[in-house]
Amino acid sequence: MNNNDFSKLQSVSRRYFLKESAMGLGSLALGSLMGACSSNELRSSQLLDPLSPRPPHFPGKAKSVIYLHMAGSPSQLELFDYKPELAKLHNQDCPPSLLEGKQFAFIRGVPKMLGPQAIFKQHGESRAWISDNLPHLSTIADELSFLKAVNTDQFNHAPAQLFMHTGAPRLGRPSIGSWATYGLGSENSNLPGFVVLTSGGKTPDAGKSVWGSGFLPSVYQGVQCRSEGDPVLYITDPDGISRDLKKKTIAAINDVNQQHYEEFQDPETLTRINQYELAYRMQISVPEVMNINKEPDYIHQLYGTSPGKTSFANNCLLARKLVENGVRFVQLFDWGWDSHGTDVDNALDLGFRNKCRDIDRSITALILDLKQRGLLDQTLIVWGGEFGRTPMQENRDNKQMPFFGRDHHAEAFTMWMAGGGIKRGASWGETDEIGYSAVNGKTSVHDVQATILNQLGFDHEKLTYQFQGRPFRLTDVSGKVISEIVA
Amino acid sequence: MLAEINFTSIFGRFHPALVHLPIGILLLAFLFELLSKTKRYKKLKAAVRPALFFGTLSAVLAAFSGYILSNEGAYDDELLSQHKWMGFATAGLAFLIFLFSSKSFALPKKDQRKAVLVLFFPLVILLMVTGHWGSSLTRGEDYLFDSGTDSLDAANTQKIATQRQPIENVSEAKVYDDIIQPLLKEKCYACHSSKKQKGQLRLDEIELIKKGGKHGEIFTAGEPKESEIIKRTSLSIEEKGHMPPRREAQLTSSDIELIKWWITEGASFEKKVKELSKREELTNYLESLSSTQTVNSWLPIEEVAVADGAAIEELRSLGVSIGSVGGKSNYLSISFAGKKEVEQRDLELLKILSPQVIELNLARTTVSDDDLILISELKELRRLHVEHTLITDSGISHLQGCNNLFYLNLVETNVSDEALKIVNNIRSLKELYLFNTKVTKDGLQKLNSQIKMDTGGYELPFLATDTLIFGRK
Ligand code: HEC
Repeated sequence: MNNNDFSKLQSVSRRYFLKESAMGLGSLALGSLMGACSSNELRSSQLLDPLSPRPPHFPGKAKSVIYLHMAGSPSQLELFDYKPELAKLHNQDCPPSLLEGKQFAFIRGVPKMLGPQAIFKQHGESRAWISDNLPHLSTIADELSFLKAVNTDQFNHAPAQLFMHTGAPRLGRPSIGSWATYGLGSENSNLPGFVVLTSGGKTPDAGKSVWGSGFLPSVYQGVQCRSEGDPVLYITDPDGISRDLKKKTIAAINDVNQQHYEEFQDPETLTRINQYELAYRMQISVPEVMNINKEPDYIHQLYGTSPGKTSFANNCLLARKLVENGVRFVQLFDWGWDSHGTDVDNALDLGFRNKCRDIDRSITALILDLKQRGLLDQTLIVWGGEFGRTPMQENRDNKQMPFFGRDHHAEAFTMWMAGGGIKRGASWGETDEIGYSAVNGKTSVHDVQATILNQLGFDHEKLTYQFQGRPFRLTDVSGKVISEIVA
Repeated sequence: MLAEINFTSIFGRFHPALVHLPIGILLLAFLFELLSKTKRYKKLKAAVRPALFFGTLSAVLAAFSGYILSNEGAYDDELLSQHKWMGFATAGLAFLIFLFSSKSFALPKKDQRKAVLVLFFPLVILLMVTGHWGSSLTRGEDYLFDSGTDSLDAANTQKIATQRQPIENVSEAKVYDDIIQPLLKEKCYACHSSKKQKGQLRLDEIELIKKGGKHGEIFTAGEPKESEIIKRTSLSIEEKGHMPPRREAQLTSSDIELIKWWITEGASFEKKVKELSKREELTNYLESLSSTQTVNSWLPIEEVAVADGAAIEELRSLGVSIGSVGGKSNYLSISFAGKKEVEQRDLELLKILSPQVIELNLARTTVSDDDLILISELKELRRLHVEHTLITDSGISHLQGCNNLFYLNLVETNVSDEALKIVNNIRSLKELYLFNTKVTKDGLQKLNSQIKMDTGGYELPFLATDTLIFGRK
């Protein structure tokens, strides 16, 4: 056997074949794994400056969104969904037809029906029903468009909040604010594109994932700002470090990064350089916008704000300031709306009313203030919880509760939108006579999300991101723009 | 209750996966056949037949599953039948080649091999074409040449073009001409007009609507429930025959309600809204058609040339935010939100972009009265934000020639009644914001203007309940 033959034979030996194919398969697998981590969906300009402004799919009516989320879920039956029939059934046993095959978070056995714990009146030219819990908001009823039959399929807080904000009830998806900033970039390169403000003493049950960026690059995640202390944690320079020194430090780091980039050409390095510069600029601009001390007295009176505290009212005023300065998405979470009736704070006729006081003036002020500044038409305001509340009184563990309360209810609840190219004074959807389920105009969480994206100029089916080998979108595989409330 | 599981239809769903098998295996058989002609791979001859066997088997399975899937509908008729027949032909041809390659076949061996080779070529072509039709079916006809992979650039210019025009007086409007026809145009013409006649149906002319489609008339006056058009559009979106097909822009439930109403009322092509009996559910919808709130109506209708890229880049590098208003439009929206100083160079660059700039945000910047001289040269400008700046009446006087200005925000500036008189002459102006300016009530009244003005100053009264804290009694 000569040498030539030998090498030929060797090249087709079984062992050689296996070895080669193992390597080949291995690198294939590795390739797709790596692809799953770093996606090439982003164009180079976006990598360089991930928050640079980008055009939407079509000219949107809204430039920014203020999303007011009442964490815990307020009762639609004490605010907007007026059900006189329910009052007649007050304290009667719930008919079995409403319970069969249904699951509730806490209701067990046969609960009693609970009539509306508020007085309703019609307001404005749109004749919208709003209860006496919101006396200020009632005066601007004609600015709002109601969705009276929103439906979700989650009846626990955390998954329902995730569903509302990320389009899926599990962890890992980007939130709507992240999608918006990924799609549009930021109008102001010195501020984050997506800001989150919380009030009510706690953050939402689902944690920071409700403003997380999921598989989108983390620059798109919500930046949580505070109205007390440093607006962003660790934004001030540490003691003994002057701004000059900071600048020099960042310049030095960026020099090293630049060298690294020249050597390896990894665009992620450029992102990193950019991040340092952005952070440096934000140290000045964020505290400036987040300062409400300089607002005139009549503005504080309008909103009911008191500087230096953490309150929903302060957050509303901040939301206006942020939007004014080009922030795309401002997310407000107000905790404490979970009116089960287990104690005073979450009793529908007590604590719940106090919560309503907290938001009534400030939300009304926010809308009026945006209006007088000529910004309401380009700012979409969305209000809602993660689900609604049952027409039945809660009877946790089949016992009478000490206070009036309602259980979580996924079937039908109310949300409203205003400004941002939404009709004024419209209402869509209707629930049955006790407010249990939708009878017409039923809308889903994905419909609401599709509508928000639509107002910003996005076709929700086309705003996608390639991840793990397939394009993902906020609305998963469903969602329809609710054209009935779009102007 | 257990949902009825239909195994045949489930088998149909496997079609998209199964189709890959014959393509792969039969191509491999072809490759083996070719290679076996060479000396080096002569041995592969033995592999051709088993590959053909499995290839044919999988082709038959794919064709069968495809047949089941096709009965589920929701696909384009013509494309579907082409794809279907080609699928069958592929399976048939593969089987034929398999027969030819059999040892017990009654042809001289040499002819037999030639026949196999000759037949392989059309098979390969069939495989390709069938596959292509298949992907056209699921991903749209232009799939192959449509580059639309960049999700953000996938512009939706069409959406803007077909936006329905607001109707001035809805009750005087003709139900068909002014309401239904635009709706059909937007949602159905793509497939049912002179361009295409899916289901042998055209909806772009009254006579043709009356004529109906493949299955005859599509509506019966007075009988919405019997009308094919209502049946089709009200079917649930998953169902076979739902119109418009699943992946297209859908009718809203109010749209369907409207067509139902029109049919119930006799399906007249002449009558006006006020001549039909009123329907409560539709009041809101009909009102919305007159919506003067179409915020986007300020956008120019004609397109414009691409803007100067160098000027855009330079402005960007100066910290100005600049981008298309949306889609593939060349019109620009520019914002100084992140840049407080307005400098000479910025203005020069803006001037270069004057054909394209339709929106400019100079709020909270150092923009001065004199700067507005240059701004006034942006002839296409529709929306201008100069709120919270040092602008005064003399600056506003420069804006006189901005004949396209639609929205002007002067909140928190030093303008007075004098400025009002000037802007009142800008005929295109529709919205003016004057909160916290020196404008007086008197000045406003004297003006008697058509412009929507907002002087703000909203207050909320203090209510006794504002400070009431509810607790245990
Ligand atoms: C994407 C293309 C497409 C669009 C858009 C579309 N159709 Fe169709 N249509 C078809 C196809 C394909 C058929 C034939 C297949 C079938 O019968 O399901 C059809 C059939 C029909 C038929 C039955 C005709 C007959 O006699 O068989 C009616 C009625 C119809 N369409 C109404 C509509 C209406 C109304 C709209 C708009 C709201 C619409 N279609 C939009 C593709 C389309």
